[in-house]
Amino acid sequence: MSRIGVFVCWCGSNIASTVDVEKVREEAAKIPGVVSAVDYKYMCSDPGQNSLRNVIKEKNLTGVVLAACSPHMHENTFRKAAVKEGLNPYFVEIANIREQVSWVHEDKERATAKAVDLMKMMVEKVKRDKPIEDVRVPLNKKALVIGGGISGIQAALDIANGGVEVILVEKEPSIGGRMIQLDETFPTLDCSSCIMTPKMVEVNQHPNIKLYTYSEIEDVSGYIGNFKVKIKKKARSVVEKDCTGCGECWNACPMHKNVKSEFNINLSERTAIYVPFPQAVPLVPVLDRSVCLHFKKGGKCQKCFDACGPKCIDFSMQDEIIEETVGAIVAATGYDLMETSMYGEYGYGKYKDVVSGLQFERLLSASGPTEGVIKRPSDGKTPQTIVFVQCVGSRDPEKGVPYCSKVCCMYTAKHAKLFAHKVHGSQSYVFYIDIRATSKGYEEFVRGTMEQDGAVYLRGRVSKIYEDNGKLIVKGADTLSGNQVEIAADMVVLATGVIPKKGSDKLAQMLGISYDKYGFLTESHPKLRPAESSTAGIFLAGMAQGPRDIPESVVSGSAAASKILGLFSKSEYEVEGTISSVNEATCVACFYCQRVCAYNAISRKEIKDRNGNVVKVVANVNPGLCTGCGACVNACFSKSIDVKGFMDDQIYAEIKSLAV
Amino acid sequence: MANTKTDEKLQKIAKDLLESGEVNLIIGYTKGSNPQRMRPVFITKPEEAEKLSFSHNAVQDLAVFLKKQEVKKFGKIGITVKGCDEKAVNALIQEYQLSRDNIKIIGMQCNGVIKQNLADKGETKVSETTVYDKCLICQEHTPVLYDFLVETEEPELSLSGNVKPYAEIEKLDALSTEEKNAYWAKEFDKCIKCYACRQACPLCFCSRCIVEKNMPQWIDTNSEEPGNAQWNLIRAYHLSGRCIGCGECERACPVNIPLMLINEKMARDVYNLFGYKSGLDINAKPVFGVFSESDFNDFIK
Amino acid sequence: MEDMKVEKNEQKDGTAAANTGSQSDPRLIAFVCNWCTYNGADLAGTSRMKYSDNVRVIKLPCTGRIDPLFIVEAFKKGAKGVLVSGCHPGDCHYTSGNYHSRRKYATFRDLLGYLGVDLNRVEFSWISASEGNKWVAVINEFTDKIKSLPDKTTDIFTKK
Ligand SMILES: Cc1cc2nc3c(=O)[nH]c(=O)nc-3n(C[C@H](O)[C@H](O)[C@H](O)COP(=O)(O)OP(=O)(O)OC[C@H]3O[C@@H](n4cnc5c(N)ncnc54)[C@H](O)[C@@H]3O)c2cc1C
Ligand code: SF4
Ligand code: SF4
Ligand code: SF4
Ligand code: SF4
Ligand code: SF4
Ligand code: FES
Repeated sequence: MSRIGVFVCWCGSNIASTVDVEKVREEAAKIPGVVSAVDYKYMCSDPGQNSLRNVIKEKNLTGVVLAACSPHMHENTFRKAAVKEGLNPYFVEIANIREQVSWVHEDKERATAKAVDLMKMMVEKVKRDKPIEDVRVPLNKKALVIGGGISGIQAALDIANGGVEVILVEKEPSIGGRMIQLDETFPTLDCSSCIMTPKMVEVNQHPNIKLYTYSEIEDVSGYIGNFKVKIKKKARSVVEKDCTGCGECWNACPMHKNVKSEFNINLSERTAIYVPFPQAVPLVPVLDRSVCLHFKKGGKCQKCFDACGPKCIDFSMQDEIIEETVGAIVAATGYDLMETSMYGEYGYGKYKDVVSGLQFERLLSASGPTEGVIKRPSDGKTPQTIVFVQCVGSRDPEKGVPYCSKVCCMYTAKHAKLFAHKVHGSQSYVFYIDIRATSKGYEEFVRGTMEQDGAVYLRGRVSKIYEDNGKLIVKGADTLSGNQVEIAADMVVLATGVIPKKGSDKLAQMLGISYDKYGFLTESHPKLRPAESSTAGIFLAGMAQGPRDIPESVVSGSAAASKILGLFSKSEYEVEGTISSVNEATCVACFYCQRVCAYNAISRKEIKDRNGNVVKVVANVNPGLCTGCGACVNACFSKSIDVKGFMDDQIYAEIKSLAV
Repeated sequence: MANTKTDEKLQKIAKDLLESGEVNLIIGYTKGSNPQRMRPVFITKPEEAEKLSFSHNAVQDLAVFLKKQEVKKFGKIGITVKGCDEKAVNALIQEYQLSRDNIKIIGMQCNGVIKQNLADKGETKVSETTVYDKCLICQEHTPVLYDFLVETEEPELSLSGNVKPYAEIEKLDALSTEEKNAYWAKEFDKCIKCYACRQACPLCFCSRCIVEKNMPQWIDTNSEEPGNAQWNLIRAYHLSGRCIGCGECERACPVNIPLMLINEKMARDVYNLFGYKSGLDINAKPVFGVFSESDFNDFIK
Repeated sequence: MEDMKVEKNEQKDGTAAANTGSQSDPRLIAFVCNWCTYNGADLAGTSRMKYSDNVRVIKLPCTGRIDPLFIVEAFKKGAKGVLVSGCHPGDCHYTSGNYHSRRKYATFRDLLGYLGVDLNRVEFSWISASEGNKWVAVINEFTDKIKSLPDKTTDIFTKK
């Protein structure tokens, strides 16, 4: 039998002047199950709370209703007080008779009647409250970072420096991501490898970081605190621990003509056994079996094997599956550049001297295919005139994507600037829609390109590029002057839009996190939880979330790291106990609940008989993931799932209490 | 009675399936003692395959049996289905009640089944005035998914356009709120809460229907208003976007409540709202398992 | 329904001033989500805005939890109008509860209308935590609308 106590608060005169609090108290006393009804000037004050506690103790209450201010004000205060008397905190319900009665109504009689209704409703609810225990999830204090670009590296280093073990998985042969492909970086023009390489080395040497390169995530299961991850370490054909990175093998490889270098974006060749770039971390080559003669010609060639001093070439190496258990994950998978095939009129792919922004970075780079001397891909001549085209694919809902790629304005200004610095007397033209240079020092940087470095900025779109007599003729509009312009250029650089890394949607599905229609990973809340994914324990960083530059990528990597360090600072992860649970007797495993759950909290559970045969499949709620939103209850036809704190029978009783 | 070519082909498929052990049970139709009615038959032995038959009297949606435990325990099952009924199989797969691997679909081409009451009176010709309304709007005379297809010998159903299927829906739509209410109040008044509609429906597969839930008892169990209306409302809501239009619920209703006028109306509305039709694609996500950010919002302030 | 009788008696326990639930003084029930609309209603309070006192609010975590069954039940228990309100699209605290429910409500509402329920009696709104004024407007307009409806309220929820 319930023993409910009702406490009606005056809130000084805030409630009492519009609601007849004594009347509410009298009405409460009449409700079956209510064993105590009192009113008091300030329930939230210390004496108020003490009287609450005293009544709980003296009358041995099983539930408490406070007719007072909004639950968003003092629900916690009263729950804490109740807990001190050994009551389950969820046995405290609030009837909001201030914000939703006394402050918004004037007729005292009617306001009182409404207050009585709300109080009764909560009495009916509290009668049906079940004890709820908050859920504690044990934490495996180890983190997984997926993606070894700058954002992933930053996250890994911050977590590792916080004393937590990190596993960093990178699918390419080396970490470094896009940033290590860049030459100098805006807005300060520091050389990318000079600031990136030390970080990469630090990752490799950090006692708390385990690095898997040339590796991919195969499977992820589990939940916050306890993710089981399968990592596929692809066969490198080189024994990592023995390799000294001396380079004898790739120097011996006869395949040095035919294979395009991915790192230099087809601007140079690489061997079959190769490191993508000289500063690669780890400095251990990968043998590309799809082109290696040993594999293509039935084992004939083994020049690398012969050249290798420590004998670490292993043609028979197999892919390896490594299983790890981690408590939290960072997804930092970065970006790709859009294909520009839908802009046939720009001639990318057709004319060798129409290149992408990233290719131009490689042409600028001292460690690039031209050793930092800008040379046209077609004939190796140094261009005197370059046309840069911004917004290729970006902000173009028709052919490309509607969003702004954010970094193109800046890197184009950088490219024009570096071109001016490197080739004296040269001229660049930039076609743009607007200039978006909003961070610290950015506007000044672009101004500098225009004013000191003499780049001519033309506001308008390019309509066509074609080759004529060794020149690229760029036709476009200058919308400011209203003129059609035609420029004979030696080279054209397209600032192609950024898109999420290929395959990041598949990874997101594996992780059970959401992504937008372009494939960018979405935040749990765009403003207030920008580092969190929709799934507890999985965090986001870098360009994987959307276009951003290096400083922002670093900040987001650090943010994810600090979230994880914060999470791991406790011994267990605590979640509110207001979660859903399944009635296994009636569930038919239609999994509508699973479909609507935004948190991946529902999984299949097989019920087995004594012999281990599956007799039934039912839905199962993962307490670590469930947020208690209740969408699953709405989705279930037979109401075989219910959510604690807002159970069906409670809502029913609340509605019933309002019957007229 | 002599076997038709259709029957021979059907029997051969069934026999092979049972002989090879690819299925342990075949659900199909057989000729009843009344030649104008076909009844379901459950076949486990190859030699019994000759019992199978199919015609324009194969009215029942056999997919309803797939929800039964007694049938499920056979594991691998073969089923004879018309295009409409086959959509129920698809919907069951979509809703995880059935695995594609465990079902062999023997798709029967069908140009319409004759209304039972007319067949009972001796009608033997398939025409736009003799078949069910669902056959007139049918887009799946050939089932959308099958492992085996048995072609029909029936002539194509010719539609003059003079017979308007489910014509009542437009009429009802045009009525005022009070008139609609009067119409349905009268219909629902008849309901005796026998739940035959639910039993007949392949997609009412809940092991405990919402009406059987107490604590709370959302739906009154007494068979009078408003309990009846509430039951009919919730049944229709639960089938909205899921109903494949086989018409079995209406056929089962002992008091002739025109349930198809509700089912079909909701199917149309769901299609208009969300562009979704039930049971057409086993890989599609059910309409209430997903959403679109641009879903219809005009009714919300 | 015996339950209802019991409730009626309870209701009459002394609180004569309770709104009668009649057409001229209707009982409205609002199902609202905890994060946006409930806070919006609280804001109306902290801003001391005044509005019709016919509404009774039932708080749920999210519109995703607000089941059409609740709407039916509210009508059965004599409500003359039912409001469902939550976060604007894109703002749901649980990211998609309102999107999933919007689909269901759109469909359920059609069904109600088809079966002869006056759709003036069911209202849906998105009210954010900062829209105290919208809450006030929605409640006032809804109350006025219900009051203006014809007094005969037979529909499939009415016991004859
Ligand atoms: C032409 C150009 C010039 C630029 N210049 C500048 C500049 O001057 N200044 C500036 O601030 N910004 C610049 N940027 C932007 C800068 O490149 C990005 O901000 C930064 O590289 C983003 O880092 P990231 O770690 O998020 O992504 P990335 O650098 O893309 O790193 C992602 C990493 O994850 C790995 N990965 C992806 N998927 C998986 C998977 N499934 N499993 C394992 N590993 C995976 C990838 O291989 C990659 O190593 C420029 C961009 C472009 C296109
Ligand atoms: S929706 Fe209900 S019946 Fe279906 S799987 Fe979930 S809990 Fe079970
Ligand atoms: S209550 Fe919400 S979060 Fe929890 S299982 Fe249900 S839908 Fe998922
Ligand atoms: S509701 Fe009726 S018509 Fe629809 S699938 Fe069920 S039985 Fe067939
Ligand atoms: S009416 Fe609804 S709850 Fe009942 S069996 Fe059909 S789908 Fe399930
Ligand atoms: S079959 Fe007819 S009478 Fe029976 S419950 Fe369904 S609608 Fe009512
Ligand atoms: S929390 Fe407000 S609608 Fe979901």
